[in-house]
Amino acid sequence: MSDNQKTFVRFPLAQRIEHILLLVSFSTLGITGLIQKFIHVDISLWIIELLGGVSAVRVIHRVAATIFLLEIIYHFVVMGYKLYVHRVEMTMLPGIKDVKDGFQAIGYNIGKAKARPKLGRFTFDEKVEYWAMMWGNLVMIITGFMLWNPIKTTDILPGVFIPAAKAAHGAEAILAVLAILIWHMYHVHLKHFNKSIFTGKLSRHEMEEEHALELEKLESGVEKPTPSEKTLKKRRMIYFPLAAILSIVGLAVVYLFVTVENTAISSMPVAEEVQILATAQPTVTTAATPTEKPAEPVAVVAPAVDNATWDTGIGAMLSTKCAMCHGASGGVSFASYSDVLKGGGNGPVFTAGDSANSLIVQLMQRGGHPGQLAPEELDALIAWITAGAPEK
Amino acid sequence: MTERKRNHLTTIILVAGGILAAVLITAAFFPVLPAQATAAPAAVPASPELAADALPDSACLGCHGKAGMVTTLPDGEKLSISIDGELYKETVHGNYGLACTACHASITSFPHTALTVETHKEFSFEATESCQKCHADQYSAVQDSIHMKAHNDGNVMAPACTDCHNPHTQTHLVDENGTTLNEARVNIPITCSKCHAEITEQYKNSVHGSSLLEEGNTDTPTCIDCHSVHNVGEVDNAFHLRSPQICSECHSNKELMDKYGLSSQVNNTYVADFHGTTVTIFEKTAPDQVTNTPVCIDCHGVHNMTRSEDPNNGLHVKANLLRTCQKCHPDANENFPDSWMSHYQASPETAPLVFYVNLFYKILIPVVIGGMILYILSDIIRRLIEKRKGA
Repeated sequence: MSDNQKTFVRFPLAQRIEHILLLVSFSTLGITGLIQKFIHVDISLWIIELLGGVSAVRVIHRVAATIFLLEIIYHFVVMGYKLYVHRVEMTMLPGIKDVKDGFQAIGYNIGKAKARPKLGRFTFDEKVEYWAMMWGNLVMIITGFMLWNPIKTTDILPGVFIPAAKAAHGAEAILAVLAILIWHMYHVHLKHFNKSIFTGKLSRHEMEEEHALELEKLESGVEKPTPSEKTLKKRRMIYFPLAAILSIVGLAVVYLFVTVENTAISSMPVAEEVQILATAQPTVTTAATPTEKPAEPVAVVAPAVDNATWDTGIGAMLSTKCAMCHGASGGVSFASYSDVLKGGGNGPVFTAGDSANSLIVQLMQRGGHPGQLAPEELDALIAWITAGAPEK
Repeated sequence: MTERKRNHLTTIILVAGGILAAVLITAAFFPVLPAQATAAPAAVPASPELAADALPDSACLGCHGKAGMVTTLPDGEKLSISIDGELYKETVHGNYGLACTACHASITSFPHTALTVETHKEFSFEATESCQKCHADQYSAVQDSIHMKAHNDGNVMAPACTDCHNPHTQTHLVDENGTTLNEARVNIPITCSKCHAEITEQYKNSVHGSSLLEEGNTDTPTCIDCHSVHNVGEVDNAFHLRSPQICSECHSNKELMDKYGLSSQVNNTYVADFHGTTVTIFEKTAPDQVTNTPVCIDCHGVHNMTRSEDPNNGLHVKANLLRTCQKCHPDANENFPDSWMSHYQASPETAPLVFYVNLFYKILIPVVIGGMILYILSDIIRRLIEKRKGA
């Protein structure tokens, strides 16, 4: 096997799984959070609908947050084990060298330094990312707790901490997502597609490029002596109970996070205590309200002369009182003497000389007919019929 | 246990734990929210035809012009059938010269054709066919209304056209531009109160109602401004979600709000906060969503909204605000109401903490991200140069 085909284990499986958990929970948090922040962008609403509505989005956000928290607890417990029991080197701790490396890298890029810095197990750009994320986690966890549990928060802190937490949570999210999209994307995808977080391995060439110092150290064969099994056992005896307590406390915090308060009621609040339908007056309203001013009845138009004929008064009387209805739409007409003689659907209007057997007299005497003749009018009519109903 | 085995065990615990947590939290937080849908009935087309060779009004008034004429409907109800011909001439219909038979088209002679209806309400609804001839748009709008739905559901209280507009006495409601006349606006609550007396009573005492009815201020909304006029909608979930936009029509109008020294930012600040964001998302993605997330009226009152300074109900009074929060957040303490910024935009005076957090990030984000971009650009350029040299 040539030197260049040789591979170096960079991330054991557990760390690779940790990364996947982070990748999934971070992306989920980022997406489900930012679409709630930017609701005036169409794509946000589109994703919200795709995920089953904003209530579902919030549940997903909180599930992802919980997984994220559990992962962080796991990360610290495992790190504690490595640092205390195995006394591994604190390779992620930033130091003066990282600042120098950073300046040298910039210097090299702008042509002020002869070579790129030789880098150790974790490069300065990786440390920037790790510690930026740690800062971000702290902000997001604290503000996230406040937003998840505003009542418990305001039991202790002033109310304004809630909108402040909301402002910080949203802004920090933008910072974190942009940092991942720009810094992380460039260093592990664009500059060179580094697959070690999935495969666990780096080639010797990649090691040379990115972790030259670590490679030198590995190849020099000078390794930190592993502690004896006895020492390890002794340290584990101390660390395991400590880890158990740490885990329990951590899990209790997560449990608290999720369950400490019921922020709002899940039922509908009473919006308005009022009877929607409550009539102020009887519901029986009249469409044709009786008017205040009674209308004048049609004037009496009895003939002015005694023994009037059709032409001297009877005709005018009947036209006024009857023709208003009769004659306009078929049937009997009172427009002229000859029309009256024709009669209508119910037969002749009158029988000359026999007022008692005349239809018009019978109807008028019964009363209640529209355009009812006044008594003096009826008397004149009867007199006219009895006289043989002369036209002139 | 070997290192490898231990790693596997860790993996299994981690994955199982994650899945368990996901399932438990999902089950605990997923709210059961049923959806409802509303369907709009189709509009009815109108045919504005008036009876041509009808009886003259004088023929009708010959009898109906007498006061005190009453008829008994088949259900026993006594109905006045008198009409004041002179008064009618002064109404909007009389002005227009509408003859009696233009509406009472079935009356062509005496004796009149027998009524086919049993009750006054049935008569009124039959008469709406006459209204439709000229008022096709309004008629069609009514078909979509909650009132028509109630009628179709068999509610005998549901109003027909004539229950709100007495055709024999109705005067002009709108001017030549179609704008509702001020007198008409003032009369609307009185009309609605015929059936909605309790609500009108609340409205009368509200900041809007008292201003309209006592001061005659027609800037303030009357019933129809929120509920629409003929297509009075159902007060359902969709209406609830949409209602902030109704309030916003006036309350986001800077010119109008300045007149009363009110903020025109109330809707913006609401939408920017948790409640308003939720309601806006629901409104856009699930408009008939059932939600207890408050809209304007849930805090400010529905028909009885008061000035914010009102000692009993005004939300500027902290005790009132806390009581309002507690309607949905029963455990809220007296700090809690301050977590709502009272429609203020964060400034050093109103919410300094929020203002400075925003300021901090306004500086931090460009500095960090800008720095990253600069470094990356220098790296990209250097690598391109190296590549060219190497090749």
